Amino acid sequence: MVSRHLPVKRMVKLALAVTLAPGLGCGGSGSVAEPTEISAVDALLEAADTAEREGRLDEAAAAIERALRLEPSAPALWTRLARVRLAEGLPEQAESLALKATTLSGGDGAEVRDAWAVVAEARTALGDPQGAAVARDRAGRAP
Amino acid sequence: MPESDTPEGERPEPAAHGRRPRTGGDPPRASSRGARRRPHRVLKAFAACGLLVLLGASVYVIHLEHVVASHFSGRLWRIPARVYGRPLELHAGRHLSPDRLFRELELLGYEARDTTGVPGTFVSHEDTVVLTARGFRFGDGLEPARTLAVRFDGDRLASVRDTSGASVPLARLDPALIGSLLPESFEDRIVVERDGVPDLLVDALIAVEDRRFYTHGGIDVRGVARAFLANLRAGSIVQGGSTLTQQLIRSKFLTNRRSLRRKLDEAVMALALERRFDKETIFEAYLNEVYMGQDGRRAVHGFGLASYFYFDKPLAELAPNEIALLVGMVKGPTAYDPHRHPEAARARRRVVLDVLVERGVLDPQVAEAAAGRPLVRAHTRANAGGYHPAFLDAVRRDLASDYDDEALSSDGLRILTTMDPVVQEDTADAVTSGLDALARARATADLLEGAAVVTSVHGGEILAIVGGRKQRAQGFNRALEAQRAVGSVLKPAVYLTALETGRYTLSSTVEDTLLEVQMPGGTTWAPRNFDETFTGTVPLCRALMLSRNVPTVRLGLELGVDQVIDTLHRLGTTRELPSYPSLFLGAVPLSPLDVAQLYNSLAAGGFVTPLRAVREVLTSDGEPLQRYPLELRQACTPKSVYQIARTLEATTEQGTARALQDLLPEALHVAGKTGTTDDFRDSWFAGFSGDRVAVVWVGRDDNAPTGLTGATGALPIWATIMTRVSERSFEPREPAGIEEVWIDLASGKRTGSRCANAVRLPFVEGRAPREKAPCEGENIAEKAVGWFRDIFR
Repeated sequence: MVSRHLPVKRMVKLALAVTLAPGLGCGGSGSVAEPTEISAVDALLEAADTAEREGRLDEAAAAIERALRLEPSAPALWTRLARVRLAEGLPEQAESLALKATTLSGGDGAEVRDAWAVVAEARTALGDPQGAAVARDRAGRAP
Repeated sequence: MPESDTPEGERPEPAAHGRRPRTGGDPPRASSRGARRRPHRVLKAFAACGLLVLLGASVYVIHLEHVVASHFSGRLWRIPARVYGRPLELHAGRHLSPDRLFRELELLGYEARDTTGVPGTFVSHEDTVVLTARGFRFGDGLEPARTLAVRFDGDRLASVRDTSGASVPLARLDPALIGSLLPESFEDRIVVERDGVPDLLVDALIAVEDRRFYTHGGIDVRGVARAFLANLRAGSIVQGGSTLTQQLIRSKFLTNRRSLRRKLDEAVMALALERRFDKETIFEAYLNEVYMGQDGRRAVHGFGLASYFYFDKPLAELAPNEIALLVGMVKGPTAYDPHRHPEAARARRRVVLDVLVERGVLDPQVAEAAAGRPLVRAHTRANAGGYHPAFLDAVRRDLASDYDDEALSSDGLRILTTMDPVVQEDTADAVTSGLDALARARATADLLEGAAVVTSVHGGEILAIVGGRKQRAQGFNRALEAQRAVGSVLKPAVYLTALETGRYTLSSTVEDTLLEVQMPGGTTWAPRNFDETFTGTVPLCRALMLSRNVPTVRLGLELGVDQVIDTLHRLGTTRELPSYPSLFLGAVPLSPLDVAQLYNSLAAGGFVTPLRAVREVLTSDGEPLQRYPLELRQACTPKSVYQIARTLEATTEQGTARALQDLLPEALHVAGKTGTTDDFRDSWFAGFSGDRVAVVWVGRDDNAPTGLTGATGALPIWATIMTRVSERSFEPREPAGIEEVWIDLASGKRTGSRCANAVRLPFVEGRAPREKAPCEGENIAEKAVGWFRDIFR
């Protein structure tokens, strides 16, 4: 519980410090997140990793879903969520989520490969070896 | 109670009745003896009466004691589930204008001050806002109360830092309270414990309502006398003599009728309550029981809820002026309602402040300053008090399969929802002001109603629901319950079905000529176009963009009604749909929420996410109970959906929805479709940007014609909503294996970008038309004619 008051002077100083803080390379470019510092999405993925390692899969999923609310078009996040669903024993969900990732990844070969690889795993788990082979093929053909 | 346990026969008789009772058979022996015995009989009769009275009184007291004891030892109240909106996420890089943050802070009752450090306050300085967030327990853990410096770079957050200057990757504000799921009694309350109550409120309540609360035994005889004298002096009722205990009893058990019997009940029960429970328990019960106001059918009970209801913030954060107002309102929540009777409320607040000074509870200067503050904050929000019945209906709908009514209205659950209170406010405002604008332009428009739904494209989260013109009315929720013919809003499903077969492209042609459909029963149905003309052979893209009815029916018949119904079901429609050809023209009743589901699936590239209003449910202690995860299924091939979505985008640029070009910010690209039903009964617009789906319906509850088309009724409202709530243009990633070419809208053949009627549309690679249309150059006159012809569709 924060209970102390910040005097005006300190606030102005704080505002100044914030303004003058180094590493704020935000000269009007689209991305103003500071490159040297951990991003919101990275922080959530880290939390998801920890939760998954400790077997708290639903918590991991919740953290990734929160990240997806911040960056809904990031294919890697959909693939990451698909992996958690797979671990949760929900291959149908995993397949859909990974397929969604494939439609969002443009030219990034690694992202496309990852997504199709999860599709393949999910289809294998669903007892669809043919579908899995198609997915593996797509993963292999990614640029 | 010992008296009552003694059987009547064992009661000691009075001394005068020494001998055994006589039996009735004994004749009187002598008159003199008879005269001697008469007093005995009278005494006996008196005694019997006395016994009976005593017995009756005992039973009465025991009964009331039992009522009080059994009630107060169990659960005192059914605590309605508390419903919250989504929390605002703060992190560097996100799109958030300072204005939007200020609106959020206002909704949450944060106060602008010169310093911050106390939760619920903030300081604004140039491009930085320093705020102290209230803590909140979410399903994934506690978001601590902490001071954060949020710096803006235009409409983005440049950084979020803590007081040490360290970067905070991600923080959440506390979520706004948006309502409760009430029991049939419509009694609403937020139960507080003594720890969470400001001392000033406790002192003020005692000073004003019951000075000897801590010393009396339930009834304050001196207090009654003092009140009597004070009232005598004033010539009117200025003070009540009831103790807090009596008030609690009255509110909990008794009617408001003034009668001797009720007074007696009240006194006996108050004494019983005091005998059995300590002062703190009684005081806490009083704080949570007291009636503090009315909001339609909803009765506001207790200080915890009153604090949100009147000031949008938790009790612990109330300032002296706010505490004085609430304490003053105890005497008459209606008479001193700060919204309806501001003068009376102000005077009453003054009285309370004076009492506090007189009793030494409040410093005179503080009281003087408090008396000068506004009664309630100046905002004129439609949802002051933060209650959103239309959205709560969706919450109830989502929870119905997992929780029964009893659990929702009694267990004090905390329900974290997807509602974005700022989007909700913007949407509600757009509907109300849009309907008002239509009303000004038309004579019959006072009966005009409207509804709207806004969702997030990829998460399928419902961000706003507007159920009608009156936001606070708890009546008919048109967004969920109205099932109205959807008209052309349904057409994209027909064209999507065509593309999914692989036999059609957007350039495939279909005849726009007289069509007669043989119906079962020997009748024929001849669908007509909106403009009552036929245009000959048209490509699919034109038929969809200009919402041609006849080609749509012809295409639908080629595909089969059941195939189109199948597409609709795959896109997330859960309703049974009638298998008639009129379905192609939207002669199926759907709710705005149903339509939002369809368009959400189109917006999300053919992936269906069942629309959700609830994220998670927590117990009353904040322990996670259940999470409603993001679910997804692929309904259609991404290529087909991409082609349809791009055609709907072209519809907003060159089709029936082109009026949007003048209403939306230039940089905001959207896709959407108008819908108008027979005789102008329903006006629809459904569409999406890169991040939001919105559906608007305008019509009348009695289903009478309104004279409005989708473009003249719902479209302008939709444009207002999107302008306010969308942050991302519709710019979908092109699926692999798609090429885009310029085609001639009239013929569907390939053309140059500078030719008249040229439209850039996607095709599956290798299937774009090869044949070229003759380029007519920019033909302004032709364009104008076409524009006039199509504008009212």
